[in-house]
Amino acid sequence: MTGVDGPTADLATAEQQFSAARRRLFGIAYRILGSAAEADDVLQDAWLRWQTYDRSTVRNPDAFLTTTTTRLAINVAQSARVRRETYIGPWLPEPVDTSADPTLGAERGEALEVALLMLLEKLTPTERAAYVLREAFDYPYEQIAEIIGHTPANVRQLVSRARRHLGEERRAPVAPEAQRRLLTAFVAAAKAGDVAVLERLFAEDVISYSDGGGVVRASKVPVVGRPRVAKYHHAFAERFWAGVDVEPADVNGYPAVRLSRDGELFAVLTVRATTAGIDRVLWMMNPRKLAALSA
Amino acid sequence: MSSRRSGRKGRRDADHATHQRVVEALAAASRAQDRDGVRGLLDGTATLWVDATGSDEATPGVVEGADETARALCRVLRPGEGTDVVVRSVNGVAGLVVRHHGRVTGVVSVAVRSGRVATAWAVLSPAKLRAWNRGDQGPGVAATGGDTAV
Repeated sequence: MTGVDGPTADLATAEQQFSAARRRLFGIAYRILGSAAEADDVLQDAWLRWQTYDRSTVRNPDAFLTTTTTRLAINVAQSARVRRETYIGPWLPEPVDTSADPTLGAERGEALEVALLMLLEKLTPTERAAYVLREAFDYPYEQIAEIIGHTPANVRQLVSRARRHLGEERRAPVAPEAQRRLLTAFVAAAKAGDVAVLERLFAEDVISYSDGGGVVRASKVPVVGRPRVAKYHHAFAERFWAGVDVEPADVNGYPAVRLSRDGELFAVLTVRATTAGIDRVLWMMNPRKLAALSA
Repeated sequence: MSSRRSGRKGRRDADHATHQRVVEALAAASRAQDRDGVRGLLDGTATLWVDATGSDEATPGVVEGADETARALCRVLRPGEGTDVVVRSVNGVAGLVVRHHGRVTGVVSVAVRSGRVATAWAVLSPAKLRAWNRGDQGPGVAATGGDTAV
Protein backbone atom coordinates (compact mmCIF):
# COMPACT_ATOMS: atom_id res chain seq x y z
CA MET A 1 0.00 0.00 0.00
CA THR A 2 2.98 2.31 0.43
CA GLY A 3 4.30 1.88 -3.11
CA VAL A 4 4.29 4.47 -5.88
CA ASP A 5 0.60 3.77 -6.52
CA GLY A 6 -0.21 4.53 -2.88
CA PRO A 7 -2.23 7.74 -3.22
CA THR A 8 -4.09 6.55 -6.32
CA ALA A 9 -4.96 3.20 -4.80
CA ASP A 10 -5.99 4.99 -1.64
CA LEU A 11 -8.32 7.28 -3.56
CA ALA A 12 -9.84 4.29 -5.34
CA THR A 13 -10.50 2.69 -1.96
CA ALA A 14 -12.08 5.93 -0.73
CA GLU A 15 -14.35 5.98 -3.76
CA GLN A 16 -15.34 2.37 -3.24
CA GLN A 17 -16.18 3.02 0.39
CA PHE A 18 -18.27 6.02 -0.58
CA SER A 19 -20.07 4.16 -3.38
CA ALA A 20 -20.93 1.28 -1.08
CA ALA A 21 -22.60 3.67 1.36
CA ARG A 22 -24.14 6.05 -1.19
CA ARG A 23 -27.70 4.68 -1.44
CA ARG A 24 -28.09 4.67 2.31
CA LEU A 25 -26.52 8.13 2.66
CA PHE A 26 -28.91 9.46 0.04
CA GLY A 27 -31.84 7.80 1.83
CA ILE A 28 -30.85 9.54 5.08
CA ALA A 29 -30.30 12.97 3.51
CA TYR A 30 -33.49 12.79 1.45
CA ARG A 31 -35.64 11.93 4.46
CA ILE A 32 -34.13 14.76 6.49
CA LEU A 33 -34.56 17.28 3.65
CA GLY A 34 -37.55 16.13 1.58
CA SER A 35 -35.56 17.14 -1.46
CA ALA A 36 -33.56 14.91 -3.78
CA ALA A 37 -31.69 17.91 -5.24
CA GLU A 38 -30.59 19.07 -1.78
CA ALA A 39 -29.72 15.51 -0.82
CA ASP A 40 -27.53 15.28 -3.94
CA ASP A 41 -25.75 18.48 -2.89
CA VAL A 42 -25.18 17.08 0.59
CA LEU A 43 -23.70 13.89 -0.85
CA GLN A 44 -21.47 15.90 -3.14
CA ASP A 45 -20.24 17.82 -0.12
CA ALA A 46 -19.75 14.68 1.94
CA TRP A 47 -17.72 13.17 -0.89
CA LEU A 48 -15.46 16.23 -1.09
CA ARG A 49 -14.83 16.08 2.65
CA TRP A 50 -14.11 12.37 2.50
CA GLN A 51 -11.76 12.87 -0.43
CA THR A 52 -9.67 15.52 1.31
CA TYR A 53 -9.87 14.13 4.85
CA ASP A 54 -6.94 12.40 6.52
CA ARG A 55 -8.58 9.02 6.13
CA SER A 56 -5.74 7.19 7.91
CA THR A 57 -7.25 8.55 11.15
CA VAL A 58 -10.70 7.12 10.41
CA ARG A 59 -11.34 3.72 11.96
CA ASN A 60 -14.85 3.18 10.65
CA PRO A 61 -15.42 4.85 7.25
CA ASP A 62 -19.11 3.95 7.21
CA ALA A 63 -19.77 5.64 10.56
CA PHE A 64 -17.72 8.65 9.47
CA LEU A 65 -19.72 9.04 6.24
CA THR A 66 -23.05 8.64 8.02
CA THR A 67 -22.11 11.24 10.60
CA THR A 68 -20.82 13.70 7.99
CA THR A 69 -23.90 13.28 5.79
CA THR A 70 -26.38 13.58 8.66
CA ARG A 71 -24.74 16.70 10.07
CA LEU A 72 -24.54 18.35 6.65
CA ALA A 73 -28.20 17.53 6.04
CA ILE A 74 -29.21 19.02 9.40
CA ASN A 75 -27.37 22.23 8.47
CA VAL A 76 -29.02 22.43 5.06
CA ALA A 77 -32.43 21.73 6.63
CA GLN A 78 -31.92 24.65 8.97
CA SER A 79 -31.26 27.08 6.13
CA ALA A 80 -33.92 25.50 3.88
CA ARG A 81 -36.54 26.37 6.46
CA VAL A 82 -36.30 30.06 5.64
CA ARG A 83 -36.43 29.44 1.89
CA ARG A 84 -39.56 27.32 2.26
CA GLU A 85 -41.32 30.06 4.15
CA THR A 86 -41.01 32.34 1.14
CA TYR A 87 -41.88 29.64 -1.40
CA ILE A 88 -44.77 30.62 -3.67
CA GLY A 89 -47.76 28.40 -2.93
CA PRO A 90 -47.62 25.12 -1.01
CA TRP A 91 -44.18 23.54 -0.65
CA LEU A 92 -44.26 19.78 -1.24
CA PRO A 93 -41.41 17.28 -0.94
CA GLU A 94 -39.66 16.42 -4.19
CA PRO A 95 -41.10 13.02 -5.19
CA VAL A 96 -38.66 10.17 -5.81
CA ASP A 97 -39.03 7.24 -8.18
CA THR A 98 -38.82 4.11 -6.03
CA SER A 99 -39.53 1.48 -8.71
CA ALA A 100 -36.02 0.07 -8.40
CA ASP A 101 -35.47 0.63 -4.67
CA PRO A 102 -38.81 0.71 -2.77
CA THR A 103 -37.18 1.44 0.60
CA LEU A 104 -34.69 3.97 -0.76
CA GLY A 105 -31.59 2.62 0.88
CA ALA A 106 -33.24 1.96 4.24
CA GLU A 107 -33.79 -1.16 6.33
CA ARG A 108 -37.49 -0.41 6.09
CA GLY A 109 -39.49 1.89 3.84
CA GLU A 110 -40.32 3.98 6.88
CA ALA A 111 -40.50 7.81 6.74
CA LEU A 112 -40.67 7.91 2.97
CA GLU A 113 -44.30 8.43 2.01
CA VAL A 114 -45.24 12.00 1.14
CA ALA A 115 -47.84 12.08 3.93
CA LEU A 116 -45.16 11.37 6.51
CA LEU A 117 -42.58 13.68 4.95
CA MET A 118 -45.15 16.47 5.25
CA LEU A 119 -45.51 15.69 8.96
CA LEU A 120 -41.73 15.53 9.42
CA GLU A 121 -41.61 19.16 8.26
CA LYS A 122 -43.11 20.05 11.65
CA LEU A 123 -40.15 18.64 13.56
CA THR A 124 -36.84 20.41 14.15
CA PRO A 125 -34.05 19.19 11.84
CA THR A 126 -32.33 17.40 14.75
CA GLU A 127 -35.54 15.66 15.87
CA ARG A 128 -36.14 14.69 12.29
CA ALA A 129 -32.65 13.24 11.86
CA ALA A 130 -32.96 11.22 15.09
CA TYR A 131 -36.37 9.91 14.04
CA VAL A 132 -35.19 8.94 10.56
CA LEU A 133 -32.03 7.14 11.76
CA ARG A 134 -34.01 5.20 14.34
CA GLU A 135 -37.23 4.37 12.46
CA ALA A 136 -36.05 3.86 8.90
CA PHE A 137 -32.45 2.75 9.40
CA ASP A 138 -32.61 0.93 12.75
CA TYR A 139 -29.55 2.69 14.22
CA PRO A 140 -29.08 2.07 17.94
CA TYR A 141 -29.67 5.08 20.18
CA GLU A 142 -26.01 5.14 21.26
CA GLN A 143 -24.85 5.48 17.68
CA ILE A 144 -27.43 8.14 16.83
CA ALA A 145 -26.18 10.03 19.88
CA GLU A 146 -22.65 10.02 18.46
CA ILE A 147 -23.86 11.01 15.01
CA ILE A 148 -25.88 14.04 16.08
CA GLY A 149 -23.73 14.94 19.07
CA HIS A 150 -26.25 14.42 21.88
CA THR A 151 -26.42 12.03 24.84
CA PRO A 152 -28.22 8.70 24.28
CA ALA A 153 -30.87 9.69 26.84
CA ASN A 154 -31.45 12.89 24.93
CA VAL A 155 -31.81 10.98 21.66
CA ARG A 156 -34.39 8.63 23.19
CA GLN A 157 -36.33 11.67 24.22
CA LEU A 158 -36.06 13.28 20.78
CA VAL A 159 -37.29 10.13 19.07
CA SER A 160 -40.18 9.53 21.45
CA ARG A 161 -41.25 13.15 21.20
CA ALA A 162 -41.17 12.88 17.40
CA ARG A 163 -43.14 9.62 17.49
CA ARG A 164 -45.75 11.13 19.77
CA HIS A 165 -46.02 14.21 17.62
CA LEU A 166 -46.40 12.17 14.44
CA GLY A 167 -48.70 9.60 16.05
CA GLU A 168 -51.13 12.28 17.10
CA GLU A 169 -51.09 13.93 13.71
CA ARG A 170 -51.12 10.76 11.72
CA ARG A 171 -54.25 9.35 13.25
CA ALA A 172 -57.38 10.60 11.70
CA PRO A 173 -60.62 10.50 13.62
CA VAL A 174 -63.12 8.10 12.09
CA ALA A 175 -66.56 8.99 10.81
CA PRO A 176 -69.47 9.08 13.30
CA GLU A 177 -71.09 5.93 11.86
CA ALA A 178 -67.81 4.04 12.31
CA GLN A 179 -67.52 5.41 15.88
CA ARG A 180 -71.02 4.11 16.55
CA ARG A 181 -70.18 0.69 15.13
CA LEU A 182 -67.04 0.49 17.28
CA LEU A 183 -69.03 1.47 20.36
CA THR A 184 -71.64 -1.24 19.67
CA ALA A 185 -68.89 -3.82 19.17
CA PHE A 186 -67.17 -2.61 22.34
CA VAL A 187 -70.34 -2.94 24.45
CA ALA A 188 -70.93 -6.47 23.14
CA ALA A 189 -67.33 -7.50 23.87
CA ALA A 190 -67.36 -5.82 27.30
CA LYS A 191 -70.59 -7.62 28.24
CA ALA A 192 -69.08 -10.94 27.17
CA GLY A 193 -65.79 -10.06 28.88
CA ASP A 194 -64.06 -11.18 25.70
CA VAL A 195 -60.43 -10.07 26.12
CA ALA A 196 -59.35 -11.04 22.59
CA VAL A 197 -62.10 -9.02 20.92
CA LEU A 198 -61.56 -6.06 23.25
CA GLU A 199 -57.85 -6.01 22.40
CA ARG A 200 -58.68 -6.00 18.72
CA LEU A 201 -60.95 -2.97 19.14
CA PHE A 202 -58.43 -0.93 21.14
CA ALA A 203 -55.56 1.24 19.97
CA GLU A 204 -52.26 0.27 21.56
CA ASP A 205 -52.26 3.32 23.85
CA VAL A 206 -55.95 3.21 24.82
CA ILE A 207 -56.88 4.87 28.14
CA SER A 208 -59.98 4.13 30.18
CA TYR A 209 -61.23 6.83 32.56
CA SER A 210 -63.89 6.43 35.19
CA ASP A 211 -65.60 9.33 36.86
CA GLY A 212 -67.44 8.24 39.96
CA GLY A 213 -67.40 11.71 41.43
CA GLY A 214 -66.05 10.21 44.65
CA VAL A 215 -69.54 8.88 45.35
CA VAL A 216 -69.74 5.75 43.25
CA ARG A 217 -67.08 3.06 43.49
CA ALA A 218 -65.05 3.32 40.32
CA SER A 219 -61.38 3.09 39.41
CA LYS A 220 -59.88 6.43 40.44
CA VAL A 221 -56.79 6.17 38.27
CA PRO A 222 -56.99 5.83 34.51
CA VAL A 223 -56.21 2.38 33.13
CA VAL A 224 -53.63 2.57 30.35
CA GLY A 225 -52.62 0.27 27.50
CA ARG A 226 -54.36 -2.33 25.36
CA PRO A 227 -53.87 -5.49 27.48
CA ARG A 228 -54.61 -3.77 30.79
CA VAL A 229 -57.75 -2.00 29.60
CA ALA A 230 -59.03 -5.26 28.09
CA LYS A 231 -58.39 -7.19 31.32
CA TYR A 232 -59.95 -4.41 33.35
CA HIS A 233 -63.20 -4.67 31.44
CA HIS A 234 -63.08 -8.44 31.59
CA ALA A 235 -62.68 -8.34 35.39
CA PHE A 236 -66.01 -6.71 36.20
CA ALA A 237 -68.00 -7.99 33.19
CA GLU A 238 -69.88 -10.80 34.89
CA ARG A 239 -71.46 -8.92 37.80
CA PHE A 240 -71.71 -5.52 36.19
CA TRP A 241 -73.88 -6.13 33.14
CA ALA A 242 -76.63 -8.28 34.67
CA GLY A 243 -80.04 -6.63 34.19
CA VAL A 244 -78.59 -3.56 32.48
CA ASP A 245 -80.54 -1.77 29.75
CA VAL A 246 -78.41 -0.19 27.04
CA GLU A 247 -79.70 2.62 24.85
CA PRO A 248 -77.85 4.79 22.34
CA ALA A 249 -77.16 8.45 23.12
CA ASP A 250 -74.96 11.33 22.06
CA VAL A 251 -72.51 13.08 24.38
CA ASN A 252 -70.60 16.13 23.14
CA GLY A 253 -70.96 14.91 19.60
CA TYR A 254 -69.56 11.47 20.40
CA PRO A 255 -71.68 8.34 20.16
CA ALA A 256 -72.49 7.09 23.66
CA VAL A 257 -74.73 4.61 25.44
CA ARG A 258 -76.87 5.20 28.52
CA LEU A 259 -76.87 2.34 30.99
CA SER A 260 -79.78 1.90 33.38
CA ARG A 261 -80.96 -0.66 35.89
CA ASP A 262 -84.63 -0.89 36.83
CA GLY A 263 -85.31 2.25 34.84
CA GLU A 264 -82.64 4.25 36.64
CA LEU A 265 -79.73 5.76 34.73
CA PHE A 266 -76.45 4.89 36.48
CA ALA A 267 -73.76 5.31 33.83
CA VAL A 268 -73.03 6.84 30.46
CA LEU A 269 -70.32 5.20 28.40
CA THR A 270 -68.48 7.03 25.63
CA VAL A 271 -65.64 5.92 23.39
CA ARG A 272 -63.43 7.90 21.05
CA ALA A 273 -61.86 6.21 18.07
CA THR A 274 -59.28 7.03 15.45
CA THR A 275 -58.00 4.96 12.56
CA ALA A 276 -55.81 3.16 15.14
CA GLY A 277 -58.91 1.91 17.01
CA ILE A 278 -60.64 2.98 20.23
CA ASP A 279 -58.19 5.17 22.12
CA ARG A 280 -60.44 6.57 24.89
CA VAL A 281 -63.08 4.91 27.00
CA LEU A 282 -64.97 7.14 29.39
CA TRP A 283 -67.19 5.75 32.15
CA MET A 284 -69.33 8.54 33.51
CA MET A 285 -70.84 7.36 36.79
CA ASN A 286 -70.79 10.61 38.71
CA PRO A 287 -74.38 11.00 40.03
CA ARG A 288 -74.28 14.78 39.81
CA LYS A 289 -73.23 14.82 36.16
CA LEU A 290 -75.62 12.01 35.31
CA ALA A 291 -78.48 14.04 36.75
CA ALA A 292 -77.64 16.78 34.25
CA LEU A 293 -77.59 14.26 31.41
CA SER A 294 -80.88 12.60 32.27
CA ALA A 295 -82.68 15.95 32.21
CA MET B 1 -41.55 -7.46 20.07
CA SER B 2 -41.15 -9.45 16.87
CA SER B 3 -44.83 -10.37 16.82
CA ARG B 4 -45.77 -6.74 17.22
CA ARG B 5 -43.52 -5.83 14.34
CA SER B 6 -44.93 -8.58 12.08
CA GLY B 7 -48.46 -7.51 13.08
CA ARG B 8 -47.60 -4.01 12.01
CA LYS B 9 -46.18 -5.38 8.77
CA GLY B 10 -49.35 -7.37 8.05
CA ARG B 11 -51.45 -4.28 8.52
CA ARG B 12 -49.06 -2.30 6.32
CA ASP B 13 -49.29 -4.90 3.53
CA ALA B 14 -53.09 -4.70 3.64
CA ASP B 15 -52.91 -0.89 3.59
CA HIS B 16 -50.57 -1.01 0.61
CA ALA B 17 -52.91 -3.32 -1.31
CA THR B 18 -55.83 -0.94 -0.75
CA HIS B 19 -53.64 2.01 -1.65
CA GLN B 20 -52.56 0.34 -4.90
CA ARG B 21 -56.17 -0.47 -5.82
CA VAL B 22 -57.36 3.10 -5.24
CA VAL B 23 -54.48 4.61 -7.23
CA GLU B 24 -55.11 2.28 -10.16
CA ALA B 25 -58.82 3.14 -10.14
CA LEU B 26 -57.88 6.83 -10.07
CA ALA B 27 -55.62 6.37 -13.10
CA ALA B 28 -58.36 4.51 -14.98
CA ALA B 29 -61.03 7.13 -14.17
CA SER B 30 -58.77 10.00 -15.20
CA ARG B 31 -57.82 8.25 -18.44
CA ALA B 32 -61.53 7.88 -19.22
CA GLN B 33 -62.04 11.56 -18.28
CA ASP B 34 -64.67 10.31 -15.87
CA ARG B 35 -64.97 13.09 -13.32
CA ASP B 36 -67.80 11.38 -11.43
CA GLY B 37 -65.64 8.29 -11.25
CA VAL B 38 -62.79 10.35 -9.81
CA ARG B 39 -65.13 12.03 -7.32
CA GLY B 40 -66.38 8.60 -6.23
CA LEU B 41 -62.86 7.66 -5.17
CA LEU B 42 -62.46 10.73 -2.94
CA ASP B 43 -63.33 11.25 0.69
CA GLY B 44 -65.97 13.97 1.16
CA THR B 45 -63.39 16.19 2.85
CA ALA B 46 -60.58 15.42 0.40
CA THR B 47 -57.96 18.08 -0.27
CA LEU B 48 -55.52 18.57 -3.12
CA TRP B 49 -52.21 20.41 -2.72
CA VAL B 50 -50.55 21.67 -5.83
CA ASP B 51 -46.86 22.63 -5.85
CA ALA B 52 -46.46 24.36 -9.20
CA THR B 53 -43.84 27.01 -8.59
CA GLY B 54 -42.04 27.79 -11.82
CA SER B 55 -44.66 26.09 -13.99
CA ASP B 56 -46.19 28.09 -16.85
CA GLU B 57 -49.32 25.99 -17.04
CA ALA B 58 -50.51 25.31 -13.51
CA THR B 59 -51.35 27.45 -10.51
CA PRO B 60 -50.11 26.50 -7.05
CA GLY B 61 -52.64 26.23 -4.24
CA VAL B 62 -54.89 24.03 -2.14
CA VAL B 63 -58.43 22.96 -2.97
CA GLU B 64 -60.88 21.37 -0.54
CA GLY B 65 -63.91 19.12 -0.79
CA ALA B 66 -64.66 16.20 -3.09
CA ASP B 67 -66.19 18.32 -5.90
CA GLU B 68 -63.39 20.86 -6.14
CA THR B 69 -60.71 18.24 -5.67
CA ALA B 70 -62.19 16.01 -8.38
CA ARG B 71 -62.33 18.93 -10.82
CA ALA B 72 -58.77 20.03 -10.06
CA LEU B 73 -57.41 16.47 -10.14
CA CYS B 74 -58.99 15.88 -13.55
CA ARG B 75 -57.25 19.03 -14.76
CA VAL B 76 -53.90 17.88 -13.37
CA LEU B 77 -54.35 14.37 -14.77
CA ARG B 78 -55.72 15.64 -18.06
CA PRO B 79 -55.25 13.03 -20.71
CA GLY B 80 -55.09 14.06 -24.31
CA GLU B 81 -52.84 14.43 -27.27
CA GLY B 82 -49.44 13.07 -26.30
CA THR B 83 -50.28 12.86 -22.59
CA ASP B 84 -50.62 9.73 -20.54
CA VAL B 85 -51.02 8.82 -16.89
CA VAL B 86 -49.21 5.81 -15.46
CA VAL B 87 -49.01 4.17 -12.04
CA ARG B 88 -45.49 4.09 -10.64
CA SER B 89 -43.81 3.54 -7.31
CA VAL B 90 -43.49 7.03 -5.82
CA ASN B 91 -41.85 7.40 -2.42
CA GLY B 92 -42.33 3.73 -1.72
CA VAL B 93 -46.03 3.48 -2.62
CA ALA B 94 -48.17 3.62 -5.75
CA GLY B 95 -48.51 7.09 -7.23
CA LEU B 96 -49.46 8.68 -10.55
CA VAL B 97 -47.02 9.99 -13.09
CA VAL B 98 -48.20 12.32 -15.87
CA ARG B 99 -46.09 12.33 -19.03
CA HIS B 100 -46.33 14.60 -22.01
CA HIS B 101 -44.61 13.12 -25.07
CA GLY B 102 -42.58 10.98 -22.68
CA ARG B 103 -41.51 13.90 -20.50
CA VAL B 104 -42.70 13.83 -16.88
CA THR B 105 -44.83 16.92 -16.20
CA GLY B 106 -46.45 15.91 -12.92
CA VAL B 107 -46.25 13.41 -10.07
CA VAL B 108 -49.25 12.86 -7.82
CA SER B 109 -49.10 11.11 -4.43
CA VAL B 110 -52.17 10.29 -2.37
CA ALA B 111 -53.04 9.31 1.18
CA VAL B 112 -55.84 6.74 1.35
CA ARG B 113 -58.13 6.54 4.37
CA SER B 114 -60.93 4.00 4.67
CA GLY B 115 -60.57 3.08 1.01
CA ARG B 116 -60.81 6.63 -0.30
CA VAL B 117 -58.38 9.40 -1.18
CA ALA B 118 -58.18 11.76 1.79
CA THR B 119 -55.33 13.93 0.52
CA ALA B 120 -53.61 14.28 -2.83
CA TRP B 121 -50.32 16.06 -3.43
CA ALA B 122 -49.47 17.11 -6.98
CA VAL B 123 -45.94 18.19 -7.79
CA LEU B 124 -45.94 20.10 -11.09
CA SER B 125 -42.96 22.31 -10.36
CA PRO B 126 -40.40 21.62 -13.12
CA ALA B 127 -37.48 22.03 -10.70
CA LYS B 128 -38.83 19.15 -8.61
CA LEU B 129 -39.28 16.88 -11.62
CA ARG B 130 -35.74 17.12 -12.95
CA ALA B 131 -34.68 13.75 -11.55
CA TRP B 132 -37.71 12.15 -13.26
CA ASN B 133 -36.45 13.41 -16.62
CA ARG B 134 -32.80 12.55 -16.14
CA GLY B 135 -32.94 9.38 -18.23
CA ASP B 136 -32.04 6.14 -16.56
CA GLN B 137 -30.18 7.72 -13.66
CA GLY B 138 -31.86 6.95 -10.38
CA PRO B 139 -31.89 9.27 -7.40
CA GLY B 140 -28.53 9.85 -5.76
CA VAL B 141 -26.52 8.57 -8.69
CA ALA B 142 -24.86 11.87 -9.46
CA ALA B 143 -22.79 12.47 -6.35
CA THR B 144 -19.21 11.50 -7.15
CA GLY B 145 -16.98 12.09 -10.12
CA GLY B 146 -17.75 15.80 -10.38
CA ASP B 147 -21.05 15.19 -12.16
CA THR B 148 -22.91 18.47 -11.96
CA ALA B 149 -26.40 17.11 -12.34
CA VAL B 150 -28.54 20.04 -13.38
